[in-house]
Parts: sequence; structure tokens; C-alpha cells
Amino acid sequence: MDFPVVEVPLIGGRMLIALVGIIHVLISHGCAVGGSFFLVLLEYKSIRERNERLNLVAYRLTRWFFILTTSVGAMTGVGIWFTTNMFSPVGIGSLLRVFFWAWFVEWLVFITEIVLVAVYYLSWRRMSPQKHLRVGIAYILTSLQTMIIIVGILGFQLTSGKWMSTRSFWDGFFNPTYVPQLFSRIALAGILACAFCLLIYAFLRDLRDVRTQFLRFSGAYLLFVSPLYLLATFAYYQVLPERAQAFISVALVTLQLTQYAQWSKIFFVAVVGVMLLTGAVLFLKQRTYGVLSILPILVLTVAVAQFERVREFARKPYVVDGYLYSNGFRKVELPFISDVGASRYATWAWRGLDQKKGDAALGHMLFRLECSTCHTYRGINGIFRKKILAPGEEAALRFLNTYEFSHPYMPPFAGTQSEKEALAYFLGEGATKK
Amino acid sequence: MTNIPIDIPLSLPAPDGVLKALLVITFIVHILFVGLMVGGAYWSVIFKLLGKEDPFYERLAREILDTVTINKSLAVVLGVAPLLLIGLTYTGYWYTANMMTVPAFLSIIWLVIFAFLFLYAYKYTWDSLGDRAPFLHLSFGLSACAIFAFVPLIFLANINLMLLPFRWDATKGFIQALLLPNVLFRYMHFFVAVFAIIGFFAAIYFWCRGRKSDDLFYMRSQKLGLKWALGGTLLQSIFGTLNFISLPQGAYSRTLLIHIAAALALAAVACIALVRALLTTSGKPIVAAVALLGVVALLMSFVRHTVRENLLREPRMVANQRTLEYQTSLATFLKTYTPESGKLLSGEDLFKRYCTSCHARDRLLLGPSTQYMVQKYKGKKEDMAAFVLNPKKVNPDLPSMPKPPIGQYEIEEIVEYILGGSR
Repeated sequence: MDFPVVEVPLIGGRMLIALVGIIHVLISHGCAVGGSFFLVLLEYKSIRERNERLNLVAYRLTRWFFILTTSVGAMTGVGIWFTTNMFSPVGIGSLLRVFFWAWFVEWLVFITEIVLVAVYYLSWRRMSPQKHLRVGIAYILTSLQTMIIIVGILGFQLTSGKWMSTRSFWDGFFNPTYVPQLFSRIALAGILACAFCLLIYAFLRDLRDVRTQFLRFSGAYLLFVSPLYLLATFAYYQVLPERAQAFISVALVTLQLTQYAQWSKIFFVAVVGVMLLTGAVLFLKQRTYGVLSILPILVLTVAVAQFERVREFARKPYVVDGYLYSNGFRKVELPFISDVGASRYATWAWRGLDQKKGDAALGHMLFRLECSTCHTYRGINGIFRKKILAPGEEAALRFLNTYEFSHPYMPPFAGTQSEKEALAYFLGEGATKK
Repeated sequence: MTNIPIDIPLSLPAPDGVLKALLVITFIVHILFVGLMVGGAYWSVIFKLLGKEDPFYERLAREILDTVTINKSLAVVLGVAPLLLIGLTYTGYWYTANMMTVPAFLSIIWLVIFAFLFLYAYKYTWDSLGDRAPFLHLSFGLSACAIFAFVPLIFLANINLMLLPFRWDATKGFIQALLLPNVLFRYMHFFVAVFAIIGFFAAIYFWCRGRKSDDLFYMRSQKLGLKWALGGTLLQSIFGTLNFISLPQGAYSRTLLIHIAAALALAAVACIALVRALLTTSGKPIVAAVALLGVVALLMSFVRHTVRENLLREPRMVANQRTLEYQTSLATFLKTYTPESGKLLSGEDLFKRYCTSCHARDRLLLGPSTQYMVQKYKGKKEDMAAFVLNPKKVNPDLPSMPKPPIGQYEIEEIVEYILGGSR
């Protein structure tokens, strides 16, 4: 609660996290995890059919996966730590204390995975095919393990389950959303890998001679994996509701949200539809259509963004469900802060502000402290552009008095009445000034 | 008022000492691979340049670049554990320092991604571009090296800033953090170490590769590596000293000096072993030098750890006091606090809670005034309740009303309140 305030102009911290996060999910799911099954399967097929050219396709695809995984994938993984630390120091600090050993084991698995993917790629042709396939299988198993661990932590943020009362690691880890989210992510990884391969294959012009075999394989693969994705995601949405659905019906104030929830389900069915269609066309026609090389990866990029956004939205207003709000205040300490005042423990949020300016400065400080995690001033989710505040200070105060009930996805205001009025003053000033 | 953060009120997942020991150990492994990555990248560029005259260097550059492919991936992945551990054991200090220099800190991700992609481009265009467009090809390697020269500065600025909480108020951002006393000298200390590390690695790597071969390349590379290792180690007598004397006030203590003395003695023995290795063909002196310098690295990491603990002793006292004050006040408050819940709210209370963000008595806000409602629904309570239960868009100029998160009973209370004329 009293860390330096990090404000990203225009796009806001959330968008920055989303950017790094989405790139990371695309690469880590698609290339590292999904890549393991797709490529090893393709290699297996090429060995069984003694098809040297198809084997070469698998090898060349692996090179790209290797490059992407070890540069963009690995660094954005670290990047998620860097960025989330900056915007939720208390949240990440708390998660670390609960899940450190899970992450530590995850780290050991990651090292193994990186070594295996390097051995898998660099030893191609230097090892006997059988031995190489065995390396591939070990790679599949470790990459699945990375998923098994990380999903526990992601799900915990969403549904902390029994942890709230027991504070036990395992209760936090095997939380209610664990199983469906795990399967949904694994299946997504599988489809993503195929989509990446279709895109890369379009550029491997010298390997066009085996396209019949390659595209037929990809088509069959998509036809098999896509329904699994649909089922798992559907199950995930069925579990998610325990809070999110109750929450969605409450959160109707921004009407977009209900439409959004409906739309997002329809959207996932559509995504799977596109994948099945692509799979069917590839399987039956075995021709390279430009659009089929690029469409799957584009559609899946949007799907990943949606999937993560729904998850991030569903955990609101918390970073850790029922324990810690997204602005770093703990639920339990809120009445205390409202009693003694948020200013009492705030230091960094004052930095650069002139305290002599009274309410304007106090309000600005409180905005930084409590709102700036999610809101910019006039950029994305810009607070001064909110219609509800447009009439000015009085409307802002009315909003601050009631939003806890009308906008339950926002953390409640923490502070005294005079602090609330100062914030209302600041918001009103900004919203009326164009 | 101090700005050292209050501690997070959850217990650590293991004793503090265990986590810090783990931090020191995992960091040594991480920095070793960082050294191999940075040193390897520099070697692959330096020797590529020298390779115009002598094909030996060209081959050396290429073979070292092959090792960078794996070493850089490991450097990144191995860095995750120390990153988590430092966040865990120095939470308030580490996060705060990074947040103070946030643009520089976050740029690390993108800079390193580009450096890696440059290295791949450098590697995979070695044959295709190396002869046709040598400058372009070399520029890939050079770009990666330039990034590798810059990124350590960010880490070093932050790690110094983290240890000096009493200077946080006077330090604004990355550039000022760079000027903290120990940053520049420690940077030089780091780079000299990088060249020693890659020298060592080359000596061992090519010794292993050349064991079953009579290719003279391996012998020559091994000797070259040993020379760099020796040179780097000897140069530390200058840069290590500069680093030592530039440590901030309060960093020194007796344990620190004892460990440094021990490390220096071992480093001197290691140098003798290196000279012997250069003069003979046997692998034994190399093994001895590596073992000795391994111990030196361990001692030096412990020295760094002591510096951290010495510098943070006072700030910690301040932080603990703040945390204690906070926790006690919170606990005292919660003892007497009873949350309001479970009581039935009146129509007026419900109206205030759920409606007043959009509706006022006598003027239009986001929705119509209650006076308008009274006109429209006078005597038609059921109609109004039905509308509130399932709102529809009426006025095209206003946003449609959302369905409020309450049931029939509450809605009737609200309608009663609005139409009852109590306003």
C-alpha cells in the first residue's frame, strides 16, 4: 500500500501487463507446450512413414519454435514478473509468500524444459530416430508439468477456495477452477501450435512437395484437438460462475458486461468453429490457401486475449479472491483505513505533489493510491472521461458513496469522509475540465 | 516521514536464512551463465573481426557463438529463481527500487528480446550474409553486444538504489540512480569478470572437445581462453579494489574484510595455477584454478550478501517499527469493530445505495429525476416495479438503465419510497 506509484500514460499499467502477457501465452502455450506434442507427433509420423522430407519439415518448424521459445517466450515470462511486480507489488509479494515453493519447482521444470527443447532441436539428425523421439517424449512431459503447476496459481487468484480459512498451500493450489482450466489451456496450446506451424509452413517454400501429407496431418490434428478445447473451456465457464456469474448479474451497471459475457461464450464457439472448418478444409483439400495460414493464428490471438481477459475480469475486484483488492488494500484492513484515513500510511503517492494545494493535491494523491492501478487520467479507462462524473464534484461524491453497490467489480473506497470529498473534488475538477 | 514500505503480513515460506542462502547460490549460477552469454557474444564479434586475417579466429567466433545459443537461454531461465527470492527476502526494497526506475527496468525485457533475436540473426546468417554483406552481418552481433553493455547498468543502478533507502527521497529516476557511488565501478568489475568467465569456459570447453582430436584449433583456443582468464583475474586487482573502496558508508564490517582477504589469497593461488596451466598441456592446473575460483565466487557472493545486510540494518529497523505500529493499530481497531450487515434497509437507504449515482430529485443526471417518475407512475406502482425489475431503453438520449442487483422486495421498497411522496 505504500509503494511508489507507477503510472503509464494513456494505455495504463493493465494494458502493458496484457501486452506482455498475451505474447507470453501465445509463445509459451503455442510453441513451448503445444509445440511439444505437435512437433513430436509430426516427427513420429515422418519416421513411421520413412518420409525424409516430412522429417525435414518438422525439423525446420522446430527451429522456429526453438528461436521463439528461447527468446520471446522466455523473456516475456520474466517480463510478466517484472511488469506485475510494478503494478501489484503487494499482490505479487503476497502470492510469492504463498506459492514460492510451487514456483520454485516450476523453475526447476522450466530449466529442464529449456534444456530438453535445446537438446531436441540441436540433436536432430545427430541421434538415432528412436532415441530422439524419446527426448521428444520427455520434452512433452516436462512442458505439461509447467502447465500443471502454473494453472494452480492462476486459478487461486480467481477462486481461492478453502485457502481463506485454512491458509494451506494445497487448498490454494487445487482450487475449484483448477481442473477445467488446466485442460482448457492444454487444448488451447495444442491448437495454437498447429496454427503457428501453418503460418511458418507458408514460408517454407522449398518444402512444398510434402504439403499434401503435412496439411492432411494438420487438418486431422485440428479436427481432433478443437472439440477437446471446446469441451474443456465450456466446463471452465461452468465452474467459473460460482463467483463470476453471481458477479456478472450484479455488474450489470456497465451494460456491455452482460452482453460481453454472452458474447464471449458465443465467441469461443465461433473460434472452435473456425478451427474445425480449417481442419476439415485442410484434411479434405490438402491445399495451401493463404487465408488458412494466417487466419487460425489471428483468431487464436484474439481468443487468448479474451480468455485471459475473462479470467482477469472474473477475479475483480480482487488480486487474491476475497483477500486482497486489486489496488493493494487488504479486505480486512479497509474499515481501519476508513477510520484513520488513507493518508496516514501513504508516502510515495505524495511524491511530486504540492501538499499545500489542499483538496486538489489530497484527491490526486488518493487517486494515485487507490485508482491508478486500473485507471489512467484521459487514456484507456480514463477517469476524467467517465460520463458518470461529468456533472462535476457533486456527482463524483454521489458516485463514491454508492459505487460499492453499483460497481462491485471496483475495490471499495478506503478513507475518511473528508478524504472521499477530496477525491470527489479532484475527480470533479478533472472531469469538467476538457 | 519515511517511505520504507510496511512489510507484507504473510509469513515467509521458509526461514529467512534459508531463503537468503538459496538466493546467493541460485544467483551465482545465474550470473555464471550471464557471463557466458555476454562474454560469448563479445567473443563471437571480436574474433569475427580478427577472423579476416586468421581463419582460426573465424572458426573460434563461430564455435563460441554456438555455445551462446544454449547459455543465453539458461541465463534467462536461471535468473527466475533469484528474481523470486530477492522479491521474497527484500520485498519492500527491491520492488521500490525497480518502481523508482520503472521505464528503464521494464525496458530490460524488450532490450533482451531484441538482443537474443539479433544473436539468432547473427548465427543463422553467418554463411548467407557473412560474405555478401559483412557489415550487415556483423551489425547483428554488434547490436546484441551493445544491448548487453547497457542492460547490466539498469540492474546495477537498481540493486544499489535498493540498498540505500535513506537516499530514495533525493533520487529521481534511473539516471540519478546511475550516479550512486558504487554503480560504475561495480559495472567495470562485472565486465572484467565476464571476460575472465568466458576465458575459463573456453579453456575447459575446448579442452574437452579436443581431448580425442589432434586438431591444433582446440589447443590454441584453450590457451587463448586461459590467457583471458588470467588477464581478467589479474585485472580484478584494479577493478575489484575500485569496487571495494566505492562501497557506500556502512557497508564494511569485520566479517566482510575477513572474507575478502580469504578470497584474495585464493585468487592469487588460482592465478599461479593458471600460469602453470598455460605452461603445460595437462588439465590438472585448469581444474585446480576453476575449483579455487569457484570458492572465490562463493566467498565474494557472501561478501555481497554481507554488504546488503550491513546497509539494510538501519532501514530494516525503521521498517519493522512502521510495520509493528501498523499491525498493532489495526489489531486494536478490529477488536472493537463490528461490521454492519444483515440488517434490513429502508426504501430510502436502498434508494441512496442503488439509485443515486444516476437519479436525483429535481434534475436529469444519467437518468430522469424522481419528480418525473412521480408524474409518470403516480398510482401505478406495479408498473414501475416491473420496469425496475426489467428495465428497457425509453429515452434515446440517455443510456439504458441497468438491472439493479436487488430483488422484488427491495424494488417495491424503493418504488414505495419514490412514489410515496416522501421526497
